[in-house]
Amino acid sequence: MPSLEETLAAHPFLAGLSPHHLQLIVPCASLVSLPADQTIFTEGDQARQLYLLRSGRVALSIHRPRRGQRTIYTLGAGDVLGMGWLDLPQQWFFDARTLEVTRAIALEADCLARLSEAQPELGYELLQRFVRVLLGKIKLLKLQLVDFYGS
Amino acid sequence: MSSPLLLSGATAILPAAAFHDLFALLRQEGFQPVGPTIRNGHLVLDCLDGPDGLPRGWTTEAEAGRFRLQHRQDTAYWGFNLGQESWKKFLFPARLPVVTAAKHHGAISYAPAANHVPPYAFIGVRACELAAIWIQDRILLSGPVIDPHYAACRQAALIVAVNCTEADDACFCASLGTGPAATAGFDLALTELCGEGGHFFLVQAGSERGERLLAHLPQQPVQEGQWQQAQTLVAAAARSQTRSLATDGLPGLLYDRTEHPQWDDVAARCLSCGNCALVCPTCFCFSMAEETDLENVTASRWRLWDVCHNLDHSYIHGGWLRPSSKARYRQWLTHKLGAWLDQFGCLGCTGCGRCLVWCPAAIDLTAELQALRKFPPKE
Amino acid sequence: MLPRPFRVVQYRRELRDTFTLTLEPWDGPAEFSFRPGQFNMLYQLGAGEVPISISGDPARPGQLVHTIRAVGNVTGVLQRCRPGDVIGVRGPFGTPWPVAELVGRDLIILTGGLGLAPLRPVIYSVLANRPAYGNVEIIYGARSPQDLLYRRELERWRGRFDLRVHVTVDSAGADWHGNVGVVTTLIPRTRIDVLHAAALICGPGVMMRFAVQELMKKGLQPRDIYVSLERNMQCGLGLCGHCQLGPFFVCKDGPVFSYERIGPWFEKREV
Repeated sequence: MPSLEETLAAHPFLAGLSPHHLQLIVPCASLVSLPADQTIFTEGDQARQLYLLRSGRVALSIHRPRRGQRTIYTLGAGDVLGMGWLDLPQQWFFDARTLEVTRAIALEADCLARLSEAQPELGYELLQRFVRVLLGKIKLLKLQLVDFYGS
Repeated sequence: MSSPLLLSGATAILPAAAFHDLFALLRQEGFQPVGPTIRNGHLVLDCLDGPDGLPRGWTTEAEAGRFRLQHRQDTAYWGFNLGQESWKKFLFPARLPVVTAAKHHGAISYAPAANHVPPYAFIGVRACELAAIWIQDRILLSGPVIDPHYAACRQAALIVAVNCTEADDACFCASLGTGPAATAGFDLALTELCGEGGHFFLVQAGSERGERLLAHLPQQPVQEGQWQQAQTLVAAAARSQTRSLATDGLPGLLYDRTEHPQWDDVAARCLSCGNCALVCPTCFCFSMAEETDLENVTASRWRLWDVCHNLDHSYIHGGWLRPSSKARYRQWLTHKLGAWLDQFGCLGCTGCGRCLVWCPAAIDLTAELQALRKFPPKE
Repeated sequence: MLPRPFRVVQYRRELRDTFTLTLEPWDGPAEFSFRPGQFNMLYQLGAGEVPISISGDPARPGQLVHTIRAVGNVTGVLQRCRPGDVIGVRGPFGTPWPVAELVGRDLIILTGGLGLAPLRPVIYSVLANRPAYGNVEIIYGARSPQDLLYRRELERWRGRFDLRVHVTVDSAGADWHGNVGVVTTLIPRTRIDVLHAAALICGPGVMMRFAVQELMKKGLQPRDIYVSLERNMQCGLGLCGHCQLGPFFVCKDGPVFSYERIGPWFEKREV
C-alpha cells in the first residue's frame, strides 16, 4: 500500500510539490472513503476541510424551497472539493453529496493555514494552486451561462 | 479574356445606315434583339425594335455615387458607357421560378418550372460585360452543377459586342485587362467611328455565326486609316482611366486582414443597401421563396437575387452570423476580390465600376482595397 | 435539382421542441444511400426548404431518418407531419465524417444538444464495425436531463463494454446521478492515445470552439479534429452563396471539415 505521502503526491492538485513540502502536509491529511449518497457538507455549515478526490463522484447542489435540490456541478477523481474556508465567514456555499462511493484525501484547513503562515513559500505554492483551480471553475461556470448547447 | 488591343481577323466596315440591316437580319434569323435604351429617363437594357431604340446622341457621366445621362454633340450610337443593368438581367434573372409542386390525391409531384427562353441577340455588350459573362459561365456552366436556365439562355444568345472608345470616370477595366476592347466571347464586335470621315462601324467577327451574319451585310473593305482610327480611340479609352485595381497579393492579403481598421472606416459609411451587389454583373447569390395558391395545393419555388449586405443572408435559426454592416461589407469585398479566386480561379470583378457609381455613399472598392493594402497605423 | 417525394412512416417526439421523422421513398428507387454527416434539403409544399442532417443508420438505406428541432417556419410545419404525409427531399449533400479513414484509431465523439443527430450515423457505423477501431469515447452534453436526445439509445450504448459514454448537463435535479458541468470538463477523462486518436465534434459554435481548445490541450493535432458546421443553406449545391465561410461553401466543401482546414476561419468572428 502506498504511504500517505505517496498518495498525496499522486493527486494532481499537489503534483510537483517538493518532497519537503509534502512531508509538511502529511500531518494535515487523512484518507476518507464515503459511501454513495452521503452528505459531505451542507450550505452554511462551518467549512473546515479540503477534499482532494481520488475516485468516485460528488455533486454540488443548491437547495431551492419548494423545488428541491438543483445540481450545478459534479466533481470526480483529480478534482478539488471545498474551498469555502479560504474566506470569511468560513462557511460552505453549496451542499455536497456523493453520487457513488468516493475516496478522498481530507486536509484540515486550520492545519494548512498554520503551515502556510509558518512556511510562506509553501503557502504561496498552495495559493497558486487554489487560484488555478478557482479560475478553471470560473471559466467552466461561465460556459454554463452561455447556453452552450442552445443553438 | 480581353485586352485593350483590337484583334485582327475578319473585319469590315459597315456604314452606320446599314445598322438597320443588322437588326433586320437578326430578326430574320429568329433573334430577339435586346440592348441599351432609355425608359422613363433611365438607361436600361430592354427589347429593341431597331437601332432607333438605342440611346443615340446620349452619353453617360458615371463617377462614385453619381450617374447622369447627357446629350452629346454628335449622333454616335454608342457614345455612352454602362447603365446600372447588366446582361445578367436576362441570363440570370432577378426573379425566376425554378420548381413547381402540386398535391393530388395525397401525393405530391415536383417539376422544373417552364421558363420560355427566347434566343436573344445581345446588342452592345461591352468588353467588361463579356468578362462578366465569362465569369458567370465559370460559375453557372462549368461547375459540378449547371444552371439550366442560364445554359439555355446562354446557348441561344448571340452577342454583338461594342468596343469602348470613351471611358467613364468610374471605369477601371484597363487595369484588370478586361477592356476596353472585346477580344473574345462575341459573335460580332463593333467599333464606332463617328466624325468628319463619316459614320461607320468597324466590324470584327468572333465566331463562325458572326462571320456568316457579316457576309449578309452591306459591307466595305477596311481602310488603313479607319483601322488606325479605331485603334487610337480604344487606346485612348484605356489611357483615360484614372482608377485602377491592383490584384497582387490577393486573396491572401484580404484573408489576413479581416481585422484591419479600414473595415470599421468603410462600415461607418456603408448603408448596407446592397446596391453594389445588385448592380454587379458577376454577383450570383440568390435566395429561395415559396409562392402558393390559396388552398396550398400548388406551389412555385422562386429564385430571387439576394445580396450579402442583407442581414438575413447569414441567418441561421437563432441569429445572424454577420450582424454588423462591417462584417457584411467585408464579406462582399473579401468574396469579390479574394475568395472568388479560390472558388472559381478568377476575380469576381471586371472593372465595370457599377458598384461605386450606384453606391449612395460613393464607396469605391478600388480605394477600399488600396486602404486595406496599407498596414494599420502602429499604436 | 428536383425534390423527390418521400412518405412519412413514423413521427416520434424526442424532446419538447424536437422530433424525428422516418421517411420512405414514395416512388423511384426504394433506397436512399448516404454517408454519415451528410444532409438533405427537406421541402414542405407551401412552407419551403430547410437543411437537415441525416441521423439514421447508413446500413439501412431503405429508411431515411431526420431529427429536427422546430425553430422556424419550415421546421414548425414539418413538426405537424404525421405518418402518411408526403414531403420532398433533395440530397444527400455535403462531405461526410471520415469514418472509413479513421479505422484503427481511438475516437472521441463529442457533441452537445442537437449535435448528436448528425453524429448518430457515425456511432452506428463504428458499432457495426467495432473491432476495427480503438477506444471509442462518446461525450454528450445538454442543458438538463430533460434535454437529452436519444436518451434510451444513450443508455443502451452506455451499457456496452466496448464503448465509454459520458453524459453531462448544465444543471439537474436531485434525481440526476450523472455529471453536471460543461462537456469540455469530460475531455480530460477520456482514455485515448493522443497520437492515434481523432475527435469528431458537432454542436453549437461556442461549444465546438472550447472543445477544440481542450482537445488540443490534451495533445490532439488540428488534422485529427473534425467539426461539422452550420450555415444558411438554400440550395445545397454551392450556388446560392449563403453558406460561405471564407473560400468555402459549407454546403459542398463541408459541412464536415478537418480543423486543420477550417481552423483559421473558424476562429475569426462574424465571417
